[in-house]
Amino acid sequence: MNHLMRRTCLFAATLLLLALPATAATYTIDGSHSSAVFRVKHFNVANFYGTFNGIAGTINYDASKPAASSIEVTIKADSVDSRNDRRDGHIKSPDFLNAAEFADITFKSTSVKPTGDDTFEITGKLTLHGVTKDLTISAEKTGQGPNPRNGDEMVGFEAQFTVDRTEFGMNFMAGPLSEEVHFILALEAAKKK
Amino acid sequence: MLLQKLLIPGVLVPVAIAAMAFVVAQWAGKRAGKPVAGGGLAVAAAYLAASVALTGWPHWPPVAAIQRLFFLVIVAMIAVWILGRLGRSQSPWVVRGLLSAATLGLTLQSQIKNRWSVSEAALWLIGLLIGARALGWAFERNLAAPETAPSGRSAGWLSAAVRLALVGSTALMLGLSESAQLAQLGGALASGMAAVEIVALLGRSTPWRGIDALVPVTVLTGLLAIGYFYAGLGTWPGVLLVLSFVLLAPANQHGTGRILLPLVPLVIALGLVIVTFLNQEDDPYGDYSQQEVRASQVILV
Repeated sequence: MNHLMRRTCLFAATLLLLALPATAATYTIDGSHSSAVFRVKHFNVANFYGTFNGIAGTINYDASKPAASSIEVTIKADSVDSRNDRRDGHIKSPDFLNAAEFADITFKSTSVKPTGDDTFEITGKLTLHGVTKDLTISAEKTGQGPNPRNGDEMVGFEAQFTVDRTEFGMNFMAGPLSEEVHFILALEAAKKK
Repeated sequence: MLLQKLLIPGVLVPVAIAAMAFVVAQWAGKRAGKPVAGGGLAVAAAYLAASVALTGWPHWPPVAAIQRLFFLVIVAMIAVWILGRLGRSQSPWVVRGLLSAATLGLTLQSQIKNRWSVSEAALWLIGLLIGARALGWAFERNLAAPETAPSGRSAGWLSAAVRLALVGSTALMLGLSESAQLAQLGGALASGMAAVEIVALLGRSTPWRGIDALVPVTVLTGLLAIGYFYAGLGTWPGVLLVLSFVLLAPANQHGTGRILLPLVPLVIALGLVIVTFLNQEDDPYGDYSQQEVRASQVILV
């Protein structure tokens, strides 16, 4: 009987531990399951979408204290993909991203403010085309749980924001190609072991 | 409308500014009783105005190579003005060397910091500096030479035409490589130089002295370095283009054949760039009529 009691208590304690909020953990962004999509308006007529394929970085996420969380994302400028090699070359050229001179697009958070159960307002510094500016973005936690293949703890976030490319020194064809560029950043990250 | 947006800042603005600045420099020189060519100052003013019209005011401190080139042109302009005030017709080799070294070092700052080891950077910069100085040396001799050929006939127009063909082709090759903005800046240099040549021809005045070459040589060095390292100007087209500038000859020392010689490597370089351009994937900026033809071909197939 004593043995049964001890086992029951141990099981309850394990359940309790699992139910407790996780402490801050560092998650590594999985570039192959993350997306960085951008949108510009072409000739004031239609929205055009492209992607960046080289995404990396880390997320420090604490579900119990979201304000203590932080994020650092690096996107390789020369990984831009607009489904046309010649246009990709032009976007990478000094007319736009100047990828050979400014290899990385980075965002480093300076503060995270929870705005709902799974929504946040993240303020940080965006470096694009060699210019760094403060930026506040809205983000949503899209999910959290174990990887069904290896059991690694994973977390997902999605953020959307708009920047004025001319503020980052990208003035070429401003007007016919919209100054405003809208980004959707969908990140999947796995806990570091 | 799109053409106007590209044509006005890249061609009309530098032509107008260069012509006005050249006339003012000539007038001021005559008033002060000092011989002032003024071509260098006029081309610098034209390039700076076009640069602001095309790319906006540069960031301070400058972050991109194109912005650093803007400030290097101001330095070259000030050097031309000071040397002119000192009555120098040729710039001292120290000034030429330092300006070329600064142009390469500052426009290629990202390569030096992020991509090259110390030894790679040293090798690249020494090699590029030799190329830049060879280009500068030929350009200065070409600009400063009197315009009378050995035959006694004026070969100035031919020499000027070859010079402008080289600068204009540089702009075209930069555009076909990848960057329209670099092409426009090269076009602004060519437009400014053309305006100075025409106004000087009409006013029967001397457009250039040796010191004036500091400005176009700085712009060309910077644009070629940026074009090669950041905008996909190929190695052979780049080398042939520099060679064509190095082959520029002073009109007063050589005959027509020698004056036209730079066009040989230039034509080969242009051919290489055009063939590469034509072999690329379909133009995403192609006009709608072309796209309709392609669409109808697909339907027929």
